[in-house]
Formats: sequence, structure tokens, C-alpha cells
Amino acid sequence: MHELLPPAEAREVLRRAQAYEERALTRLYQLFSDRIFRFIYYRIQDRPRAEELTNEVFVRLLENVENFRPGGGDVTLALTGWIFTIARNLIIDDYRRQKKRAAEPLPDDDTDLADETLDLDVRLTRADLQIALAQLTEEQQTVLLLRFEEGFTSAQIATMLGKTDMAIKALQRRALATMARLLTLPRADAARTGMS
Amino acid sequence: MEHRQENRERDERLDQEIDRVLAGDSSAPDDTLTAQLAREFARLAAEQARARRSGARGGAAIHFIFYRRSRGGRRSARRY
Repeated sequence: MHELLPPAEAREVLRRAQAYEERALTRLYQLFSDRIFRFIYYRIQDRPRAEELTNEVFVRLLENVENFRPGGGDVTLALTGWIFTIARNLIIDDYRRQKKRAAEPLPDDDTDLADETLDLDVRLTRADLQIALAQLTEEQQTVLLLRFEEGFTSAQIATMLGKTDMAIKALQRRALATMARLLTLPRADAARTGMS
Repeated sequence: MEHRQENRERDERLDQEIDRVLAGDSSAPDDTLTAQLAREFARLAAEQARARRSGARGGAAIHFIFYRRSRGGRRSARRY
């Protein structure tokens, strides 16, 4: 179980951050800046821009933290979900601003291919993964990055994104099925045409 | 209805497989393509995490952001 910050400490840090205490704000930055940078960089593949957007996330956090209400549940997850949502919105805005819309996401793949016991038979590179990831919907990318890169459980991601646990598990499987298809079909095509 | 139940079971199995691989268990009872991909994803994330530990990203901008915010008010915080 991912433990970013014990709930009691999260509540205290949040309370002090809402009073603009610099040490509390710095603590939030230390906890989240690398995670947010990674999340953005994985999505936009532009390091300087990812740095800028990461800073922008914290500017927005500063502007809005006093109005943030975590609700009655897990404060750590509510806070984490809120900060990642700021990052998601900035990524979407950035795409729009640059009119560099990502390729239309592929429809969910729920075919049986991904459940076959074929051999993926290769060690993927990070580039392979990033290219395939970019073909997914924004929500699917978010779920996979929170799950694999940040190590959150499906239940935690569900709380952070305001969805059910089952919805996250379904999203996760369809996303991986789509990626598996993208990563295996080129090789199948190459084999069919006699290329390696 | 039956199809939906099957999907749920597959969702659940894959989720448990991901929990296992993220916990470092490489015994890999599930050999579907999605499970293989999940293992590759986890392997690359772990490699990346090791690389990060050996070279942290710079990022001292926050102090400047906070400084501007406390001195100049909300909008000036954007001019970092």
C-alpha cells in the first residue's frame, strides 16, 4: 500500500499550507514536485516545458490551496488527487494552447487478443512504452502512470479520481490491452510480410 | 451479464497480478499479454526509480515562487 504521507500529517501540513506557512508549502513541494514533473514529462515528452508546467502546478496550488476542502475521507489521497488534477488540467490546456493535439486516442480494446498467452517476447524500452501510452485516452494514461510510476493501488486511484475501484480496474485492463495490441501488432505484421 | 462477470474477473486477476509485480514478485502465474505488459511497465518504472535515486532533478524554483507570492500577492506569483 502506497503511503505518501500519514493522514494525520497530511491534515496538519494542509492546515498550515492553507495559512501560507512556507515550511508547509515547501513540504508539499518536496513531496510532490518530482512526482508531478514525472507525470507531466511522461505525457508531453518535453523536459523544459515539463519543468515550466510543474512550476505552474505549484503556482496554482498556492493560488487555490486556501479554498481546497479534502472532504471526510483520506486527506492524503484527496490532496494527491487534487494536485494531480491540477497537473492533468494544465497538460490538457497546454495541448490546446499549442494546438498540438495528441493523436486521437484509440478506442478501448477489449478483444481477446490481449488475454491470449502469446509471448510479448521482448524487453520493451521506455520509448516503446511512451509511444504506446500516448495512444491512450487521457484518463487511461493517468491511471497507468499513477499505478505503475507512482505505485498507488487501484482503490487509492479510485479515491483520488472520484471513481469506483471496479471502474479503475476496468480502465487499467482496457488500457493495457490497447497497449499490448499496439506493441504486438507491428511485429505480427512484420512477420507476415517477412520482415524482422 | 455473463460477459460482464467474466470481464470483472479478468479485471480483478490483472489487478492482483499488478499488485504482485509492483511488490517485486516475479513468479508470474499470469502469462496473458496484458500481464506481460504490466510486468514490463513495472520493470521500466523500477529502473527509472533507481536512476532517479542516483541523480535527483534540480528544482529550487519553489522558494522563488513562494517568495513572490508572499511579497507581491497572488498574480505576481506567476512571474517566476
